Amino acid sequence: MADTFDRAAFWPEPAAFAQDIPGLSVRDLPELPQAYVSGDLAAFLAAGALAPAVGLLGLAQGDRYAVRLARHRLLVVGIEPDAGWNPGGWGVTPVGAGLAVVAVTGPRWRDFFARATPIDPDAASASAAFLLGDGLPAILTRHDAPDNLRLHVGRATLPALHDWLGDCLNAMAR
Amino acid sequence: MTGFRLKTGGEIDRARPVTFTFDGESVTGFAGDTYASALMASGHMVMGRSFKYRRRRGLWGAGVEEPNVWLDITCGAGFAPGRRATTEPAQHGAVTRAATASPSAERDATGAFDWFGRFIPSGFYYKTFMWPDWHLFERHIRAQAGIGTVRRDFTDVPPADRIHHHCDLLVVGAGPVGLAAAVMAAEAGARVMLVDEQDRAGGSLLAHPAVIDGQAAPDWLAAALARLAAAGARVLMRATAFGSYDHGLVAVNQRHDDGRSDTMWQVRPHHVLLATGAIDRPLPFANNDLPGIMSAEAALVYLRRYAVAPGRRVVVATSNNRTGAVAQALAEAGVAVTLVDARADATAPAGIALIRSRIIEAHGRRGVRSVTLADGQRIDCDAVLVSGGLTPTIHLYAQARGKPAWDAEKAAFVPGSTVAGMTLAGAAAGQFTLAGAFAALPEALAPLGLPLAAAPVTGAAPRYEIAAMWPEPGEKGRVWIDLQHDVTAKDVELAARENFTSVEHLKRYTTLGMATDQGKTSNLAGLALMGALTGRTVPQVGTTTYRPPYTPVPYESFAAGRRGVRFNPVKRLALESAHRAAGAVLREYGGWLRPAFYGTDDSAILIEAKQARESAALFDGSTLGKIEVMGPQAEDFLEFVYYNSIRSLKPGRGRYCFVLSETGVVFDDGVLLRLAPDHFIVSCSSSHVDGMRGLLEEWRQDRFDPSRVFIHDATQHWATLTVSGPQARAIIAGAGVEADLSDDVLPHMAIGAGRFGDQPLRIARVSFTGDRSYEISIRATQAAPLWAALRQAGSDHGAVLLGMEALTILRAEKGYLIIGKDTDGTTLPQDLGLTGPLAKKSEEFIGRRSLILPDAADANRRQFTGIEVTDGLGPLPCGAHGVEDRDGRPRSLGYVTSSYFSPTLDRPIALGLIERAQARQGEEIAFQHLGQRRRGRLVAPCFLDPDGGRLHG
Repeated sequence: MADTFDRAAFWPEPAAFAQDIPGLSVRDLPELPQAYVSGDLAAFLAAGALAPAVGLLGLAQGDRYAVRLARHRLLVVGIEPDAGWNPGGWGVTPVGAGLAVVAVTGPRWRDFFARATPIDPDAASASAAFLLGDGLPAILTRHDAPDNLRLHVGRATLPALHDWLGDCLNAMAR
Repeated sequence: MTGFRLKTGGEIDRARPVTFTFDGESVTGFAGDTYASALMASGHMVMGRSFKYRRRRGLWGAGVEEPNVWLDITCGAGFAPGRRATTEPAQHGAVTRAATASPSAERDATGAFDWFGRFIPSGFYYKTFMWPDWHLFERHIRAQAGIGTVRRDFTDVPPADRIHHHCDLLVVGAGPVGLAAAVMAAEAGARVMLVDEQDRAGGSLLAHPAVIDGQAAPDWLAAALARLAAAGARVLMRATAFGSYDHGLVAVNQRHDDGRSDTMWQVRPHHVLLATGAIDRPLPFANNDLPGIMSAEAALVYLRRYAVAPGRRVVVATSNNRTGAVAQALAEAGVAVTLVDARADATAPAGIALIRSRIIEAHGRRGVRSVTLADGQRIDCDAVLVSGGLTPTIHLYAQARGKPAWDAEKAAFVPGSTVAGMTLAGAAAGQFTLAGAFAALPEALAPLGLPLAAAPVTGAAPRYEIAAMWPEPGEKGRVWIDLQHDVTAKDVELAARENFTSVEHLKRYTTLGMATDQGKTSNLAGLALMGALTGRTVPQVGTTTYRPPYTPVPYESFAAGRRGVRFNPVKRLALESAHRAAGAVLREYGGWLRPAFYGTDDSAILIEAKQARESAALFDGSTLGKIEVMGPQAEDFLEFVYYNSIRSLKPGRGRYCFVLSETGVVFDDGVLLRLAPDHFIVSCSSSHVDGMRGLLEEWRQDRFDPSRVFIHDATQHWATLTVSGPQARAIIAGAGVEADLSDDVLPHMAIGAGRFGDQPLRIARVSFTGDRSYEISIRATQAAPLWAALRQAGSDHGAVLLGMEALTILRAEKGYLIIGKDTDGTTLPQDLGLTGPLAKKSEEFIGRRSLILPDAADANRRQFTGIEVTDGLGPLPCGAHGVEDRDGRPRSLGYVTSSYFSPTLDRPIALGLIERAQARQGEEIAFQHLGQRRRGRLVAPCFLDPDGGRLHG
């Protein structure tokens, strides 16, 4: 049979990810409601009775919280307000299906972070957005506990994240 | 050299013998040996062949400075080519061979090259092997070069780990000075990382006895390591800091001996202290490369760490006052030693025979057998240990743009200018006594700003004294300067004669210092000789630029596992499983993995394209960019971004628009959809989403009020399922989609809402095929049921699943271009026939000013055109050039950008960018591809349904 240049075999079919090593557990979370919000962020947070948006490795709590991404942009998690421009001065775009969320839990999160990014974990960053591993755009916060991290990546790039996670955890496990 | 193992001593474990083979011969050492020490202990003299002349070579050094002995090592399933024998721990069962010899170091097949040495000096390949054709010889010459053989079948390399580390102080070098600095800083509260390339800490203490703070060196060493551990310092051995990079980044490659790939540490310290020591230099004399001639400091390391003596009758030749200790140590081990010291006021330890002279020639064939001194004496020997002085290891400092300064008294380059965030200590700073180095530590650590405890104290030692001995012009015989690259004094003289006198030319013409040892033992001698030849001092000749890596680093360390699926990961469709199940052949398109066609061979492509026109097609268009722009200034913003005017676009409508770069070049195209007065969707090419988002953000922040216009990329939130063809409406209705698809409510280029079960939909009537077409966007995680329903409904209407290959045929039949395929980096909108906005749009837009430059108005520009094949030979090759013959030579008029066989039209079609195409419609021109000539006529790019009736069919 002629070569069809089928790359299906080279790229394994995506599958859910869950792996535990001593000190760290990583697994995909179910889909979470999420939305980008831009504009008058203070007004949006007040209107939604939300706590101030957290930055990189910031501790977010509860089912509804905000994550700061840029000067005029945040990611709200746990709700998807109506899309479009709000007369209160902010714009909303739902992205709950567009951002996959991965939980990274355990006391060895620092070892994980040291492999994920050159950012100093002890130097706070107001923006939770960064480039992870091989250059994947990602968002990282803590959730409800200091050793409980939440990593958001574009859903289309989730299999690429899984490939990097596998190598990272295997290296950490040695 | 007839090296032998002493009966006692060393760090080796004599209870654990280690046996390996070298060039087929069995060798037994002990655990703790390196391959070098084991070979030396077993009496091996010839361990390699030189790079160019294939001369017999033995060990020179004991560490990374070793220029001669390289091994290809196979151990178990592992294979390591071209490794220094001095830095690899001997492994039981390993199979090693000399990397620079064939079939063996003793009996190399190319040993005769040395007989022709005078005919192949530096740069010979610029003067010889030219006739009849250099390329006949090049392949063979290159085959002789290099160190080690790559095994193409060996691909199983575990991914390297990459770790980023932040600390207050990185100390490079775990000798006594580095250890002391690390302890002082760690106990003062600093976060400290200490790295050393050796397998254990101690540095010079491992070979030179010392008493520090009243403790013998081994005890002080153990205590220092314990204090570091207690203070929480991170200590990495077998870790080479190989590069100093921008913004204070220091890269460290850590070896592992358990089969793992190395670990790449990217360290960002607040301060770096280099305690990297110094390297012993050779002495210049004829035949100074013979096996058995080695560094005196290295010989001491072999003696103390591995209990190996270099020979039984040893000449120790020196020009400085440090080498007496080496002679004394050998004598205590029972070796007959003669010390030859070039300094007129030299003294020797008690009981050591001293001759105040210098060696002018070494004699021997397989190894050194005797030396001749300047005073005429000839001394028989089986080993010669040499010390031409110490060269501080300042590489990381110089990589960080530190300027070395020449210290004539020490005959060495020492650190000169200051480098922010970096200090040096110990021998690296030119402090060649331990007492002096310790005393200077508080100043070296002062930038930390911490309350430091006192530095250690050790006994005073004599000041370093040296009589610089450099190669001299016109010296008789072959005096080696760069052992690894086989560069002699005569090569430097040749370079001077041919006017390659700058240090940069000297390096490149002779290849001095360009081997993997990077001139650690050779650069200075070469500079000094060139200075003597040209009437300059060493600092006037200067140094070349220091660049990482300090020692070779495996590619895998840099890759850190980024290969295979991690090398260039693709984005994945939400419906990929469904496509696989439907038999899709998947390929990469614009960074996404997408169906190329559905079937077992590419005959499916034309079937899909034909059936799409006759009934309907379903395809997954989820990759198309969906960037939302919203806010009070969104309309102003987009009016500026787009070439086309958009202000008149009403909510619920779409417009096909172009975005230009600042140079006027077409950057992207797509349909702009307006959802509300202040809410738009920028639909852009699948491969351009990141680029478009970047362009939008840049202008948002630079020209507009970033608090009044906002950009959200929602591309991956939506799956976009497209139904195209005459049966499209019926299929959508049959799938259970709730939406009013009447032409009044949803005309072509409009967007509306719908529902599928409880899921809201956006339905845009946009066509990339030229047929009636609906793009249905649904939440990506809910797409599978809708896709299944559309397929079910489609099967009732003869719908076909459409892959990318067929889609590109359909769009080409309509003359719809693909940016980057039918345009190139010079294509302006007028080249595409789009002149309206330039003529009519009054407001500023990106690239406007470039469109009025003279080049933009050039009548001979390449313009977008259709091409009809007129020679009956099938589709034109993509990339074929339109040509005209001028003065007997073809001149390119442009090229074919897209070319297919159209099953609907039953003939080939093509698109292209051809010079003055708009004025040449109807003209038949020649095309050329790989020597073959074809014919085609320039026609309008739309081959099918030019009136657009099928959009409403």
